[in-house]
Amino acid sequence: MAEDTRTRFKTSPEYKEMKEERDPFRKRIFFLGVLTSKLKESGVNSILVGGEAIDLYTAGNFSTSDIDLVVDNKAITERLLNRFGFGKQGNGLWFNSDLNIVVQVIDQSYSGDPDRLKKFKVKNYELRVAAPEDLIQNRLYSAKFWKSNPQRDMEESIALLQIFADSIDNSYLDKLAKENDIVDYLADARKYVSKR
Amino acid sequence: MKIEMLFGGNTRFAVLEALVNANDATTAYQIAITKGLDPSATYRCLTELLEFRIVESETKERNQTFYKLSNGAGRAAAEFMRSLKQKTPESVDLENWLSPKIQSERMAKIVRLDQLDESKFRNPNGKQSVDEIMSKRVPGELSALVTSSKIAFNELFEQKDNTFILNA
Repeated sequence: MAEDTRTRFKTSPEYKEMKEERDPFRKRIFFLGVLTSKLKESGVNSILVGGEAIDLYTAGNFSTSDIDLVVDNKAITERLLNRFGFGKQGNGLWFNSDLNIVVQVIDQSYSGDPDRLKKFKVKNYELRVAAPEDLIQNRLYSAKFWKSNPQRDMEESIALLQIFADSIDNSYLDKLAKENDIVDYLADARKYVSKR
Repeated sequence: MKIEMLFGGNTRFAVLEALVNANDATTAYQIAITKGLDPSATYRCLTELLEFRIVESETKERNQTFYKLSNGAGRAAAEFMRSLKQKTPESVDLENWLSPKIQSERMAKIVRLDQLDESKFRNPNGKQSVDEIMSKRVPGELSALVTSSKIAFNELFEQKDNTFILNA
């Protein structure tokens, strides 16, 4: 039964179009559009967060290795990924070698403000994406406390601060910085942006 | 169209280099002479760069057309060109240098560097200044990348209220 569904999906026009898309950025966002719309049909809400959200806001210039998707039903999402030809790796990530796309399914509640989510319309599909302010907070927190890759984290924060300089809600960002003890890192990032 | 798609090839690199180094707007012929290029190829390249708004043109006395880098994409190209010059003295294939593969190799080197000698970039109380963190980038590289991102994002998506719509 599952095999039939997988075959049906792999021979569908959407899958063919995804496979034939040569631009990796367009391929990723088209895939996300298809995935999130199928999830919605199954009653699952999803939000794009993390590196792929930043990849989207920077038009593919700050690309990432995996897609982090917050969902409110992990079991249905994983079943759907399986039907989309993804296999679960040892580290819990889902990988499709045909599309060269990696997905991480996150089943925690969304930590940002849901009222500030941005919508992206890709062909006939709709994506909900974390707001730039929430992504900046996440990256600055990572730079200060996780320190796994502070350069990447600071660069992505700075990029979002610059790209959305005209629309960022600075009072909301200040509030997030206070709550997360990253006032110093936010001040540094803003100072860096203002010098350029 | 993303800015990086426009680069690659010796003529484009030389034309951009001439424009970056020029103090004032210059003609296609002057660029060709300075860089030892074929004038027709130089003109074709400038027309292409004009089309993608990397370059602006102005017709002055004796109906001559003068070219200079534009403020948006042109400035990004200039910053990138300067950063490349600081990185390496020899000619660089920009298309190759900007490719995802090479970008990820550069990032992998940075990550390896972090793993090898973290103390080099971290002060005793654990807080790194943003300048310390960013010192691993070639000057101008990030700024060019951000400018390029902004241009590409605005070209790819049209904003209506709270929704970004991907252009066909």
